[in-house]
Amino acid sequence: MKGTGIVHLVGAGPGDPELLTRKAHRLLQGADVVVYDRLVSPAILDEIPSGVSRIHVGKRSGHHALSQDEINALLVRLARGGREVVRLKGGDPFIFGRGSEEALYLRRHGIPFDVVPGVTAAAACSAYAGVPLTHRGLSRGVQLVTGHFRDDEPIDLDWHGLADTRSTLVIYMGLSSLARICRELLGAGMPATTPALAVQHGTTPAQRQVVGTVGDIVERVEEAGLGAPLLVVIGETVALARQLDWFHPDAMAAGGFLEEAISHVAQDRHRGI
Amino acid sequence: MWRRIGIVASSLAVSAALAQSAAPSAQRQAELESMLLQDCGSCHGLTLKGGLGPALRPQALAGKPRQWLIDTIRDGRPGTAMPPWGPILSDADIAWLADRLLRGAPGKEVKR
Amino acid sequence: MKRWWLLLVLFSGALLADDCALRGTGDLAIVIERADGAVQIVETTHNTAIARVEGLGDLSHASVVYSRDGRYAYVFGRDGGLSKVDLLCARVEKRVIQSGNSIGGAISQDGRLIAVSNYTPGGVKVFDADSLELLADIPATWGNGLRSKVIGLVDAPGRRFVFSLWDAGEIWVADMQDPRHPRITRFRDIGRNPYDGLITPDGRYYIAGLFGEDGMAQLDLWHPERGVRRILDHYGRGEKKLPVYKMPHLEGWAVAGDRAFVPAVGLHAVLVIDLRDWRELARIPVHGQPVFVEARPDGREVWVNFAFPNNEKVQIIDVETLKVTHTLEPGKGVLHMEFEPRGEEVWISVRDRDRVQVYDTATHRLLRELPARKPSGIFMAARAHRIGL
Repeated sequence: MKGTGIVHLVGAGPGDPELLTRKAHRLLQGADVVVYDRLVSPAILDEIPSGVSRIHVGKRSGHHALSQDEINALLVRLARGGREVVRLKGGDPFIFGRGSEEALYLRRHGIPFDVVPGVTAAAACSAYAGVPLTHRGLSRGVQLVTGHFRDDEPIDLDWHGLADTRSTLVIYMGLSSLARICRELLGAGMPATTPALAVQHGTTPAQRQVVGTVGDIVERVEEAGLGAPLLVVIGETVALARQLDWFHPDAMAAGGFLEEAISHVAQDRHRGI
Repeated sequence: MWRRIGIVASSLAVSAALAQSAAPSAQRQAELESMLLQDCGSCHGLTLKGGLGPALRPQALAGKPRQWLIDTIRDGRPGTAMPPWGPILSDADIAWLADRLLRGAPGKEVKR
Repeated sequence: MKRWWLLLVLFSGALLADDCALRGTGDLAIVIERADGAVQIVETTHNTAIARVEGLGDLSHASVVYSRDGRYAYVFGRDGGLSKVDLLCARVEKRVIQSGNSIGGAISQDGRLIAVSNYTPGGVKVFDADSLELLADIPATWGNGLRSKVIGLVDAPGRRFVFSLWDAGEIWVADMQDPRHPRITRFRDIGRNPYDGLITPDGRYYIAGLFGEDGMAQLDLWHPERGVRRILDHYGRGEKKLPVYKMPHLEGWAVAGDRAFVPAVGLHAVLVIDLRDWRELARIPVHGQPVFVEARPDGREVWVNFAFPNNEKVQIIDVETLKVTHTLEPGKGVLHMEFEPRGEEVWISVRDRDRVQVYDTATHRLLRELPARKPSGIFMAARAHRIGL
């Protein structure tokens, strides 16, 4: 193949390789090169045929392997070399994935591209934690925000709007600023008892989660030792997790952080009391 | 910022209430006053200084838009113990209560 | 002549106040006059008012516990006031303002400690029952540096206090063996927004009712290591809840035989629990959302009053048929009911009529009405000898 190649902006989904779309899977099989970042799970990287070259442009907060400008330039260079490029991103490329920035850059440089949506963490991690994002009578909308800010940057969000408990609030990459976010939400009038969920490594065998309230989710995340990447869901629907919890990657995943008293509640629940 | 909006809103609220033709009758106002202290008071305190629910004195409400108060009284606050009063009270009743809260107690307020 | 009479009246009044009445207190009770910051002292043998004590502050949502000798009533006011009222002398013996906003209290098993549960700042304070000296301050801290409102405070055997944290959804047990250094056991994730708590008359089970979700949280104080378990968590499932205009109360424990009767939150129903397995046995439709559900001391009947806007009636449930057999209509604003210790009469406060009514519980007839200004809680001195009251 000569001439200009193409860049497929592909969402890899949340981690479970079975949540990869068929189109994403097909494109991976036919790619010349896969450019991926840190949030793509190892199980999904295993789906890439062995002959395909891989370029890790992984980002870590504050510590970029490649800057966004360098990534943009890399994509253009690869495509101009006539290659079929899969730009593989965790979750969905157009939801906090900067996929649209890359697409704009490609468009400006005359590189053909297409976009393959992925299952975004808000949908996937909450579903695997037994939390619906909407539920009749509990939530009539969903708000997605990112919790990723530079340290000195004021978090300029509409806190009164976000504190509305009639909709579900999902915070991507919420770990570092979670305490700040919860404080702002409480300050904007959100009841401290509003249920909150934090999920790390959602949909993978390493999934761990805690359920608490906006008043104590920070404490619970710390107690459980959850780390990034962390997805936080705040809203009335989180209360359903107790009943809808279904994904148990292994017996240990739920243990180790709850007090003994709680496991008794859980046991009684399973006995149907 | 909020404070400034609040003052504007509450002065607007008073004039709007005065202009309102459907204001509750004097007898209804007395009933609402009693309900405010006795029934709202069971959560917000008989003197509206707060209890299970927050304080509802004018200082505590400073900065809250009138419409927000009206919405809260009518629809309640989901996720909290505040119930919707819309099923029981008319819009005029609710507007009167919101204005009464923003304005504070009438002169003959129970002293304590 | 007229003057002489006046002097005599003044003198005898003074005599009473100074020397105090020589009598027992077993048949006395206190009626809260919530709007006036006053209480009436009444006697239940002849059903008369004997004195009024003023100066107790904001008594909306006031409650009372008694010293073990039955002489003193500790009155907990909404404004954080804790007042020790001498029933015989009809006066305030001591009074402290111990917080900004409080909700109730308890007296320890040995009668030496008074605990008060507070909304603002959230926590429990423990006082010496004689001097009202502050012995311990237990802030209800949770989560990310928050303070929770505290409700459902009761005394438990073993010199313990048990209470629930409204915001945090926790039950705490405070062991007061060393009153200045309480030992706290926390039970987390007991359910959302516990609104009140009670302890069974034997002091074994602490139960917190949940407002934020269906069901109740039960702690077996014989086996705290087994943790808190959820009971009745299916009662409201799938049903449309009504707006709740007044929180139900769990004070007291309507137990009749193997059955306990509790208010359903947001439903016009009384739930019946089978105490052998703690399951819901029945649900009795009633006139409104129940506030107090109280068993007549002999356990034959359960009396129920209701939340606004259905608070003009009282219904009586027969515990054998589990049906409402009688409906009384004392008038708007029925706030509380209190049985006399052996249950032959019940006192009912009717706020909007400024009356306290006494009913014969065998005939359900109104026996007597006493004037009282905006009466709310009625507390018999016989509570002095009951766990959890």
